[in-house]
Formats: sequence, structure tokens, C-alpha cells
Amino acid sequence: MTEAAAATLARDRTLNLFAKPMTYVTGKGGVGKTTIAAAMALLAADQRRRVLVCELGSDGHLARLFGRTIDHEPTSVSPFVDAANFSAEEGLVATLTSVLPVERIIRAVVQNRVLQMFMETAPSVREAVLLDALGRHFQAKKYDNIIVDLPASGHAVTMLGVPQMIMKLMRRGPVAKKAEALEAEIFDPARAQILLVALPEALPVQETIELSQKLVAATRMGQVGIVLNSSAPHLVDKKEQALLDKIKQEAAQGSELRRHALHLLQAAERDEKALRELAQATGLPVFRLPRIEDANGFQDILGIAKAALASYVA
Amino acid sequence: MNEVIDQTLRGAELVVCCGAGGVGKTSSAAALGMTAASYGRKVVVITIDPARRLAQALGLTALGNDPVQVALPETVPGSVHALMLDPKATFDGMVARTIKQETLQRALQGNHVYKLLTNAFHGMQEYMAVERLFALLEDKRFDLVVLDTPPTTNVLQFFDAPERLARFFDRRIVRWFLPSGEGSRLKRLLSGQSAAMLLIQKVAGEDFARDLQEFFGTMGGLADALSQRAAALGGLLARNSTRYVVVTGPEESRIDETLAMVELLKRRAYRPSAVIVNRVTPETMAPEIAPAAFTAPAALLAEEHSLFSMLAQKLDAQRSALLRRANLERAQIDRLRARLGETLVRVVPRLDVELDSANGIFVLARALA
Ligand SMILES: Nc1ncnc2c1ncn2[C@@H]1O[C@H](COP(=O)(O)OP(=O)(O)OP(=O)(O)O)[C@@H](O)[C@H]1O
Ligand SMILES: Nc1ncnc2c1ncn2[C@@H]1O[C@H](COP(=O)(O)OP(=O)(O)OP(=O)(O)O)[C@@H](O)[C@H]1O
Ligand SMILES: [Mg+2]
Ligand SMILES: [Mg+2]
Repeated sequence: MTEAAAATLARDRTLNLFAKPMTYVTGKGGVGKTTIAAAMALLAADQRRRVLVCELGSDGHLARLFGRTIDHEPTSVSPFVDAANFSAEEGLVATLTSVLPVERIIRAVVQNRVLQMFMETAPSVREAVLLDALGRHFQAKKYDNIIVDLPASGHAVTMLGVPQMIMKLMRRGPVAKKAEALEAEIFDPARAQILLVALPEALPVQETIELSQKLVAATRMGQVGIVLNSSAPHLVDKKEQALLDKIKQEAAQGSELRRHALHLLQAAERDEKALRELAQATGLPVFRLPRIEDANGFQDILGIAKAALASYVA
Repeated sequence: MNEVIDQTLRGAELVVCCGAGGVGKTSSAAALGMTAASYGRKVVVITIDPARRLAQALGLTALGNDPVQVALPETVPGSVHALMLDPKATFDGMVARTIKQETLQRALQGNHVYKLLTNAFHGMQEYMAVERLFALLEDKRFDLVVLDTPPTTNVLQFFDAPERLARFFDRRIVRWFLPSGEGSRLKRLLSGQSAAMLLIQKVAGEDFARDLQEFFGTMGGLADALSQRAAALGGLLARNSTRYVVVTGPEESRIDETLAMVELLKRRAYRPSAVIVNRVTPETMAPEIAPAAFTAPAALLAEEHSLFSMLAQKLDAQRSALLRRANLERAQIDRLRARLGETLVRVVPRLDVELDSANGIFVLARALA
């Protein structure tokens, strides 16, 4: 793809966020995944969609955003929006029951301290239970859309690979079968998609490109696009850019004018570079979400982010 | 040197950088390493971040399981090495040391449980980092180890990894799988004596149960080594020469997270020696002065003036937003200082350079120290 084509692509496509009922949001640590997942949920609600936004056993970022406790069971946080933070401890019995519906045996597991310890420490049990909780809500079809706030890059790739890994490990038996069914349900490319979040800086851009490629290899789900978060709040066109360049040369070193002109110019250049590199390397549409410099707390950011996303959504 | 950084590095043998995702842990770890080297220390920075961030930040093309020396100007009296942990290689190495018989080792390589454990066991990476830490602390080439903790895992999960792994190899679990006098315990369990063991076989399949038996049969001996490691780590983390640096940002949510993390550390008697508030808007640290209107430089042509006045509006909006943001950040930093005291907090501005080369890290190191 030529650079010009990539740049056009990045501007002209619209984001089809809600066409599929399940969206996984991921990206490097701290790029704004939780904020964007929550903003997406509020936006879906504006379109009168019933939506669940959930985290998989996190330290509770959604809770801070919505200013209330959020647990394993979905609770309403706003009209049309439920939120949940799935917990492996609370989901274990339900998952066991679905694999082996013999109450006597399940009681044996839950009561046996050694087995309990084994379950707690055995590889991927935690992840599998969390994904299974997600699967139950997906299957119940109570929501039009489910938005999953996945962990950061590397951990997200591991998480998406858990059902496949279990299938490889166990090959036969009810758990392997269950893993296969779960994979077909929650990672079904026809019904689930991935949204990436990036920042307009060299290293985060590089990491996003690598993540996108890893996800292509790790899952059959498609990627809907990349949100370039904290992008330049002020856009400048070519003419303005030229004038800024001139100011850079003419204004006195260390002057306020020069400093702010440089800041404006640099932010615009960083954005352009990020947009171009991301679009070129991944072929995905890239959408800017401006950095909100003076937001007063995250509620504020959430509202502005929702409005910005809304301008891209078909 | 800045006092906060000085108290962190002086007498330190291990510096643990922790903090939320994306706040600048890797960059700070590299910058702290550079700072220490400029005071003559022989530093090794270890990262577990699979995203090769440290390599990029230090301008190295490749970073492997063995320390690579970073090229520094000749005027720097010390040295910096860096390494990126390869958990699988480290684990294989540890197994090779513990299990001497080659046949057993080969059997393990084909064992599904073993493969899973090295690749996907949550906490395995962290545990292997701990293994590596001990080796590096013994290594005579270095006198300071800087540990860059991975994103998303909260640092306590990191510290708990050895114990968690030791629990997996707990004797009570391993014993099920070990042969005993009157026939294998597993056989007895499988023959119907234990609903619990039956469950594993039933839900996870017979192949898996067999792999599991083989695995524990071979690796069971690790349990003691692991518990010892867990105990040794507890000792290491509590040492006076082990320092904790919490990296954070000036946003309200980051400050909340940081205060919570400092509490958690303190509860275990690990006292942080520095909280780095990174990427602070430069205006936050400058004295507040009423902004003057932007005037066009004399060199602008007449026809450029109308465009300039439009641009000046954008510049003005940008400046106002930055100043408002600076006020918000100042309030957050004050809140942090009020809670933790002046002697812990180090504020580092958002730099204009990209931190993707040793040069960039130098600039950060200068701002830090
Ligand atoms: N567009 C934006 N403008 C300004 N601040 C933002 C923007 N987007 C997110 N933030 C802020 O950045 C911080 C990190 O955001 P968030 O918690 O959503 O990231 P995350 O990717 O979920 O982080 P983690 O990897 O720790 O889960 C928060 O303080 C949030 O309020
Ligand atoms: N003081 C600073 N000024 C400008 N940019 C910075 C500063 N500190 C860090 N950065 C940039 O912020 C980004 C994140 O930094 P870094 O990768 O060090 O964070 P991290 O906490 O290690 O992230 P992760 O949790 O993903 O491992 C990088 O692009 C880095 O270049
Ligand atoms: Mg988050
Ligand atoms: Mg890092």
C-alpha cells in the first residue's frame, strides 16, 4: 500500500463498532483500553442497545470509572449498560458444573483442600473459568453487545489462546470438549471482533503493530480497527504546518511562541507518523481520539471519549 | 544527584521498578541504570517485558537471555548490561540442573504438562525472573541489579510467584502421583478410591492424567527447591539493600493506584524509596505567570498574518488547556506529597524526545537525577 493510500484509508473508513455482538478491546498497558471499552458501552446505550462491559478479573478499573463496586454478577451502571468484573473464585463452581454435572464430585473438589490448591495454582484454570463466565453471558443473549476489556498486549494473546491450549493438552474428555465449544462460541469470527488501542508514540506504535500481527496468528477473529488514543487535540493543515515551520525558524529561541508552536507541530507530526505506520503495517482503519488535556477526572474523559467515538461510528 | 534518587541507589543491590501499565517502568529502569553507571556502578537491567521495549530503549538490536553490554560514552565510569528473560530457556536450565538423568529429561520434553507449564503457566515468567535475579546478584560482573517488572501483573503477584509455584508442587499434590509401596497412589486413586482423582481423569481425559503422573513423578523433587526459593525471595525482598521504585503518572487515577500500591508494599514491610511521577506536563513545574498574547514574528509576510491569527487561536487554546492541565496535575502531586512526604516523590517532566535510543534514555536519566 502506498503512503498516500494508507493515509486516505485511515480517514475515510467508518468504524463499524457494533455490527458484531462481541468486541474485545486490547492494546499496550495504560493506553486507554478501559476508558475506551466503557465509552463504547455508553455509546451503544445511546443507540438503545443493551450492553455489558466487562473485565476479566482485573484490579477494578471499571469500578473507578463508574464510581461504584463492580463484581462477578453484572450490575446496572447506567441505563442500558451493565458492568461486571468476572472472578475466577466465584465462577469456578459454575464452570465445573458445566463440565461435569455431578454434584457429589463437585462438592468433593470444592471441599478438598489439596484439590482446591491444585485448581488455584494449575496453569490456565483461572483464565478458563473467566472465559467460561463470559461465554455464559454471551450464550444467554441478554445483551445486544458485550464489550470485553482484555488485559494488556502479551497477556491478552495468552488469554485468547487458552481454549486452544486446553484442547491440545487434554485432547479428549469433557474439558477438551468444553474448551472447543467455548472457543467456537466466544471467539467465533462471525460474531466477535477485536478493537486495538494505540498511542501516537514510536514504541507504542511498534508494539501495536506486533500485537496486531500476533493476533492474526493467534485467533481467527478479525480486527475492526485501531483507536489512536491521546492523539493531537488540535489538527493543523498543510498551510498551517508551513507557517509553524517558519515560526520555528523566526521566533526567538526559548520564547513562548516558539515553544508552543513546536508543541503543536510535534503533536501533529507524531500523529501523522503513527497513523501512517499503523495503517501501512496492519491495513486496519485508524481512528484518532484526541488527548483530553484538561479533563477533570475520568468521568469527564469518559464523556468526551464517547462523543469522539460517536463521530466515527456508522 | 537528586536526593530521592540518591537515597534509592546508595547502598542498593537490587532496585525493583513497579507501577501500572505504560507509566514508564521500562524507561525509568533503563534511566536509573544509566544514572548508577555514571556514578561508577556496574549495573545489569533485567526486563521480562516480551515486547522488547528495553532493547529498543537502549538502542540494542537484540536482547537475549544473557546480559548484553550497552555502549556508553567513555566518560561514564561504570557500565550497563541488559537482558531480557527467556523463561523457557531458564526453566529448561533449572530442570537440567535438578534432573540429572537424560532419559527423564527427554521424556519431559515430550510431556504436554511440562510444555504447558513452561509456556503458559501464569507466574512461571515471574518465577523464572526470580531464579535469574538470584543468579545475577551472585554474578561478580555486576554490583547493582535493576528489575523492570512486567506490565499488568500487579507487583505482588510477581513477588508471590515462587510461593504459588511451590504450592503447585506441594507434597500433598505430588504424592498422589508418586509410586508408593503398595502400588502407585494414582493407581489406587484411579481404581475408585478417590472421587477427587477420578474427577481429574474423567474431566480432563486419561492422556492428561498420564502426562500429569509422569510430570509429577519426574518433577516432584522440585518441590523442596521451590519452597527454598520462595523463602529466600522473601528474605531478599525484605533486605535493606533492596529498594522499591514506584513509577506513576500525574493523573488522578494513577495517583490513586500508586497510593494503593504503596500501602500494599508497606503492609509487607517493603518500604518504597522513591515514587517517580513521570511524564508530568512541563508547565506543572514552572512558576505560574499570566500568559501574554502571541504576536507574529517580524519576519512574517503581510499575507501570512491572517493565517497567523488563526493559528494563534489554536496556540492559545493549546496553552490554556496545558495550563489547566498543569493545575490539575499540581493538585494531584500535592496530594501524593501530602500522603507520602517530600522525601519520596520525584517529578519527571514529559520530554519532547522519543525514548527509543540510548540517547533518549540519557535525557531521561538527566531529568531524573
Ligand atoms: N483521550 C484521553 N485523554 C486524556 N486522558 C486519557 C485519555 N484516554 C485515557 N486517559 C487516561 O489515561 C489513563 C489510562 O487509561 P485507562 O485506565 O483506560 O488505560 P488502560 O489501557 O485500561 O490501562 P491498564 O493497562 O492499566 O488497564 C487514565 O487515567 C485515563 O483517564
Ligand atoms: N518522561 C517521559 N517523557 C516522554 N515520554 C516518556 C517518558 N517516560 C516514558 N515515555 C514514553 O512512554 C511510553 C511508555 O513507556 P515505557 O514503555 O517505559 O512504560 P512501561 O511502564 O514500561 O510500559 P509497560 O507497562 O507496557 O511495560 C514509551 O513510549 C516511552 O517512550
Ligand atoms: Mg485497563
Ligand atoms: Mg515495560
